[in-house]
Amino acid sequence: MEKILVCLKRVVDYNVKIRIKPDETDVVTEGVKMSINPFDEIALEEALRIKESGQANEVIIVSVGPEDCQQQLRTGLAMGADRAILVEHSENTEPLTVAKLLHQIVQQEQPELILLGKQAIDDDCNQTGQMLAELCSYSQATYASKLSVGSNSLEVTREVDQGLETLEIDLPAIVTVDLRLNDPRYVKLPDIMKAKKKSLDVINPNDLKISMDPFFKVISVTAPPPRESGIKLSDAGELFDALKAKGLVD
Amino acid sequence: MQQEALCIAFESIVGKQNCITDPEIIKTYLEDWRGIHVGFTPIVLLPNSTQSISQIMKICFDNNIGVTPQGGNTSLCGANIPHSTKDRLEIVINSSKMNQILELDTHNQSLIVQSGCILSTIQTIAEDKGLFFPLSMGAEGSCQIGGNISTNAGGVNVLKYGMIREQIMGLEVVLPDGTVFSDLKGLRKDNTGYDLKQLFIGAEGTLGFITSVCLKLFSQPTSYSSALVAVENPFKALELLKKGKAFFGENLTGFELMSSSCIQAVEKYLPSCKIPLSSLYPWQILIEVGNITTDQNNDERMVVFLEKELETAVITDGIVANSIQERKDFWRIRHAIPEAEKYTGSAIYHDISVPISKIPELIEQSIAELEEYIGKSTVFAFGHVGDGNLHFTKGKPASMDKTSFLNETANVHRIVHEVAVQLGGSFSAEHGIGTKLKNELEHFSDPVKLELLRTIKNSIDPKNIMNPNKLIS
Repeated sequence: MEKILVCLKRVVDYNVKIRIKPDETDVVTEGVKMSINPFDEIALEEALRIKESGQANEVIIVSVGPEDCQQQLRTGLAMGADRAILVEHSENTEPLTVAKLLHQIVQQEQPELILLGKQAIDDDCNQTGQMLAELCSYSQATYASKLSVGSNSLEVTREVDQGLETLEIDLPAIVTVDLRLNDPRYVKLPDIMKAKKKSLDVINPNDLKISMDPFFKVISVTAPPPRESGIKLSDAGELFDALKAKGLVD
Repeated sequence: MQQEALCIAFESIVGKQNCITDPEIIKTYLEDWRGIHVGFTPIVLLPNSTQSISQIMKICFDNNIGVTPQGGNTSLCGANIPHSTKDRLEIVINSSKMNQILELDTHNQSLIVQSGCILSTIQTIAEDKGLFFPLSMGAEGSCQIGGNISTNAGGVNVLKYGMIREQIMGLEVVLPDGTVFSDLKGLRKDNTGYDLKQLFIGAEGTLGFITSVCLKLFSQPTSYSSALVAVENPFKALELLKKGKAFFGENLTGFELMSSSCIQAVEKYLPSCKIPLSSLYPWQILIEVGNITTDQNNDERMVVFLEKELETAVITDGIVANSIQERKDFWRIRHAIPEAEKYTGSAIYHDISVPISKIPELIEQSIAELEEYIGKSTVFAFGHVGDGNLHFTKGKPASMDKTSFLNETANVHRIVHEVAVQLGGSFSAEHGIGTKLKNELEHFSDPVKLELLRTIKNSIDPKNIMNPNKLIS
């Protein structure tokens, strides 16, 4: 195939201990380590492997977000993507808006395959890939843990509750990827240097004629209640009584 | 007092379940981490208060019983291992149940804890309040703060924060006769006579039993920029260190050198560790900067610094951590080296320091002299080169059998220590003396120093109750 498009989201690094802003409007992101959404990084790694195996010619990465997203796109370029596109928008974005913006990019670039993470670890929406598939009228497969590219189709193994499900879908297609698909590479210093010469286009969402007005209003963001400490019981009888007292067994 | 009567007395202090006499259970208290130092005791006590320890010490003092203080049992020189004999009973007082957090003062940036608190627990408590306790090392998940203090532990953050000695504001110690010396004030300034707490730091339990400590906390770095780089030789490592200090100033917090043999051992024996840079590079360095600003360009600065060093061939390759996970991956390799070493077979270990400029000579000369003495074999060299500290391990030559190799331990030690001392260094950088290096202390130390050490020991512990025959006799 000619092109693979990979969508990357900039998120709070998953090892950071999340703190809530005092006014409960959002989580604190000021001064916090940001990284590529780990599932998106896996999507990019897969795209690069497909390209390196000679089954694709170009890997394009795209992100929607503030100017600082350029850092994550530069990382993606250093990993091996050929060029990058940033749709710059400084406010929070919602999945449907992002899907609409990405749809515009898809129409411009006409990739045969679009890869992205099954969800972003910040809002855990798990919507963008599915919405984009609908907007583009592409085949879709979600939660991919294995991918093989055929001449005009894809074989995708999905992680579902009952086990593994294998699908064959036609190209062009959108695949959202799961954790076990691959282990992303480390970025080497010489590749970071080379990546500086690669093109990174910045687009204004207005030029794509998509409204950025939110559909949702966030009322409050609060921390989950702290977990209560456990109790020690001496035998199974006591456990039974304790469960019964809580109405968990009859 | 007969042993039985003693046990009854101890049980009345700590409770029956905390007075261990079952030889099967006691076994776990008799062997050090590498399994090199093995000892014996019929009694292990697990008290949970200063008062209990004071009462125990009083009994031991009155009955002339030796006491081995023990923490997480991760020591490497044998100071934590009891050696009870027919002639003299020696018991273990283990601090595992002395694990209370006593006071956290966020304004004073101080934390008072009992001595059996595990290092990683202390790190987490500080972190939860946005503060930082810098002591960090491979054993942090099991070593206890009392042991850290008794060995004046170093670890991976000495470059910026110093050894644990510099992070201690106060101590509470039970003296050999059961008296409690309490100085837990969280003061950064206190010029009221001899700074007595310093005596117990690094004393390896030979002067008293540390029961509580007031630790100094620091502001937490907002993030870290970490990189793993490859260099041709230790000279290039020194050049990189010098330039790194100039570029990052005091924010350079980590500079760990690792020989290819170390990386290869981790790769082979601990396959769950990811190896980001090829283990064929002769030397790798983990370099880390603790950022104090929230500027998102911190990682970019690391890239800018390393790019220049790559262009001028100081380094030959490198990876900058893109996520906190990648930083963890890097440190995992560094911390896994001692474990990987264990799997490679018999080895003789050294923990030496020299002025930083002498590190390349230290490595070169030690390797050459040992090769001449005992033959060629794998050498594991790694450590906190930013502090002039090197862990240097000589593997067994293939032609030798295990026993005859290990019989050479003292001679091998002497050769390496001689090299270090000749270069203006020390034969024990951060692991201490214990029983392992007592002879070396006698051999290399100025007689005036030895006399002073003995004077102090005799005046505080005239009956030689505390950790007898460790460090000095």
